[in-house]
Amino acid sequence: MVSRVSCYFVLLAAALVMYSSCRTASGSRNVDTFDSLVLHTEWKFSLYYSGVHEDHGTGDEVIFSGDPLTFKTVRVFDTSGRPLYDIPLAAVLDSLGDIDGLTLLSKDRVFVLQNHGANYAIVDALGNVLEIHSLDSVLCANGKDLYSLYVDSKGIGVLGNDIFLSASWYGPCVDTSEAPFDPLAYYSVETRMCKLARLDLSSTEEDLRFWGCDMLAHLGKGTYHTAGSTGASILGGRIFVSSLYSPDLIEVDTGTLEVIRRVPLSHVNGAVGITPPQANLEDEANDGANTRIGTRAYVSDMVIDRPSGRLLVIVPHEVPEDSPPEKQRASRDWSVVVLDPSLAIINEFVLQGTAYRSGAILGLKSGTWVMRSESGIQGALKPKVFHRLLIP
Amino acid sequence: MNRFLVFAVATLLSCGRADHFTELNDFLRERQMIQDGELPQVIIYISEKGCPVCGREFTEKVRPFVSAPGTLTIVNATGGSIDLTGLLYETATIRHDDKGEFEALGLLKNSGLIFLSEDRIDTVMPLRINEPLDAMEARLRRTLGNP
Repeated sequence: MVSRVSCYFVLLAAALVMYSSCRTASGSRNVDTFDSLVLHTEWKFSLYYSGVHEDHGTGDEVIFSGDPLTFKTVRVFDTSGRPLYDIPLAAVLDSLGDIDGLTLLSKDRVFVLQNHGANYAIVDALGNVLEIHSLDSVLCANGKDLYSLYVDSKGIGVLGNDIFLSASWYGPCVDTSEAPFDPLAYYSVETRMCKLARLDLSSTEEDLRFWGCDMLAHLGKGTYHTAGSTGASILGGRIFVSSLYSPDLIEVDTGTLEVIRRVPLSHVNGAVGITPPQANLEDEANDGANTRIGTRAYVSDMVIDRPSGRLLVIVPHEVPEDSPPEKQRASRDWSVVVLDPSLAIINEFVLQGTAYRSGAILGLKSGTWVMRSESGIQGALKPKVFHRLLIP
Repeated sequence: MNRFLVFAVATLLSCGRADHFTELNDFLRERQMIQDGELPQVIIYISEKGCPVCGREFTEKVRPFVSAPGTLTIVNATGGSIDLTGLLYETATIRHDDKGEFEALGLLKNSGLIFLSEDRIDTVMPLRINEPLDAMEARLRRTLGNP
């Protein structure tokens, strides 16, 4: 009798374990470790300077990975990981000084955004600077709000001739040095805190439109004003917006850029997105957002799994703020939340940050590839090994 | 009574200082970051935390000093936001701290300088946003001479 009861308990426990693992299956079974893609670079893989370019005429894909800091090069690979050519960045660095991000417009044209985004350049495959454009005259929106442009962790979005960047409010366009200026009052009354920008490269004049205004939560106190890592992901011809401070995934119309869908996101540990705190002294020192980025759960990236058509939302897990450095940031476990095209959550699995990096995912026609974690400078110098995700 | 309070506070502060030094000294020795048991005059800590532009500017300012005698440069970075030219490989004066253990000592949260003098921590100069780097560079020159 006792053994029969025990057996029932065992069966019940097993059923519970199986049920609870339905949505959060162990990630190891979702990675095909026998299918590898290796990129030989000597630098850290960063989506600010890396990604996948697809030629929409021929359908050809190439992978690119760049480093404008130490090696000052962009390396272009075919989809098997064979290096095709290097694009030197010395000339564009001479022109722009400091690079915030870059992306391939075609196999032989690179879009390069200057740090703080006042200028951008187009570079050819030999590294020659073909064009330099100043955006100074269009960084003032509606004659009121002065913005700077930046690239967030998801990299630069490209849709046709349009480049999608993030925007950071800098202050009023007018010179406030002569008169007393209360940034908080100005911020709360005058500005719309637009958080994104669309640059039309086909226009003969600088055509920059600020958008994502009044759309997302933000910090705002004292002299610190930011939405923090708001970015647009261009996936399968659709535009999605996510932010460090947003619990929702937002889809916007590709033409009007108005919200057409807003879906609350959750992962195994609950909701995502950080409730905007009041900016504190750490924010003034530029550390507040860094701490939140390194310890809280938010949408850090999105990718479309081409074979299945499913959308994958990447959510690093929350850890205590006083965790040791080696337990924060990229070392955290992270979720892949799987959405169907209507943005309904249909699955989720968890990968270990010590095994795979949440900030290094490539969406190719062959599948979605995730990079094995590397550690420190010596890890950055080694070839980058990607494995294919098996999407349930 | 007041004198006693001042004495007590001063003693406590000096104790804190000594503890920091002991921890630092132990850290450097346990991780074999110093050779021949001799402490450096200056520890240059390069990290990618905090403001990326500030970190880049700091690294450029200290780069001429990273291999100077009397210097120990500890690098906790992977090249994501700073130029690692000259810092990619460990030497007697350049050491990598991939796990961020140096930061855990609590002396510096981001990049910065620590000046040591006669077995004590003389000055800690953290990198701060919107603060010019000239004072840091000048102090390096005063301590180490021109690179």
